[in-house]
Amino acid sequence: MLYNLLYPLADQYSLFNLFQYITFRTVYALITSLVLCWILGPFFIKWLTAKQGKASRSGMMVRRAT
Amino acid sequence: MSKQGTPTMGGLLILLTFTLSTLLWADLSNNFIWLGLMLTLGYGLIGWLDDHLKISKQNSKGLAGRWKLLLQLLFGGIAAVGLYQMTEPMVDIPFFNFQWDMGLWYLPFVIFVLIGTSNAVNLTDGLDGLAVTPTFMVAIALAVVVYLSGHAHFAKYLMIPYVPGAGELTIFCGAMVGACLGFLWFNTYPAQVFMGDVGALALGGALGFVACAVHQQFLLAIAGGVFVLEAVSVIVQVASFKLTGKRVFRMAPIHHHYELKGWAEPKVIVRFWIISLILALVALSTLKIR
Repeated sequence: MLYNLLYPLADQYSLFNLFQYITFRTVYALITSLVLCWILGPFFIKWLTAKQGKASRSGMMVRRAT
Repeated sequence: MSKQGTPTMGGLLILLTFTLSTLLWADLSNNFIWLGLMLTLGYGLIGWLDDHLKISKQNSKGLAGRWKLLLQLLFGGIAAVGLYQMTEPMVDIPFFNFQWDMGLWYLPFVIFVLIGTSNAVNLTDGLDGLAVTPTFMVAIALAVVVYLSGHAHFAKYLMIPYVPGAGELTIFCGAMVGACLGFLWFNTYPAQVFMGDVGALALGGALGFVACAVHQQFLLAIAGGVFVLEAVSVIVQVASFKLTGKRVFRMAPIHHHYELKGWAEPKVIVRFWIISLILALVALSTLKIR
């Protein structure tokens, strides 16, 4: 999305030229999803535990049985 | 160590962060990105149904096998038809510098690779961090390959198929690596959360899709050798038990075999990671062995 929004502005602001590079966007895509995990992870795990906790305590194996 | 009380379906976190990051950084006019997201989220949906049924019905059965396969065929079929239209129906064979034009047989082949990879990653998902680390290692290897395949000069120099537009999938892989690392942060031994089928099927499907988009299904089989090994161990175990009544491994998938042999869980995990890293490097080396 940032590519579609910002790269066309590169004519006026040469900084936005960066957004044409796949390598640049790949690195920041990696960092974005990693940081989102760090931020959301603890809340997410609490939420999952609350949702599934009751079932687990009753002695089932939700686990990764496949 | 007790695994009870640890929540599953953490794969939802992977899918959420991966999708947001891909949408933020990728070129949204690129069809590979949309097709890849469709397949990943579609396989995630199958996994979610499976996990949801396991939790709500309080057993380990989940989604019936035939429904799982039918849905995998459906989403895999859409992706295969999309790739068939967007790219040439060929498979790149490493070592022989040979591109095999499969014609219409390419469709079932792509579907087989997608379903096979997603199920193999799902089988591997049995110890803390055992599935997610090899997944991101393969994703890194594939990121390099799709970048090179999407670049006319590099592709020509390396004699790999040039796929215009596939370079954008590097961002898809990057977002996936970040989401896997972020998940591993919490999933590493002793795990605070498991990914569940919602994560495993989706990640496996995503790896299969990226490899198929650039005709590197064989390279995927090398890089994802750990997944192949896990799947083969199950097939060998079941076949041997049905045919001869004897088990080859103490327990399949094979990581349980080593656990039962007395290896500590982290030892099994890290040794599988090491093998996975080596295989990813070997897979990359095949780009020069032609």
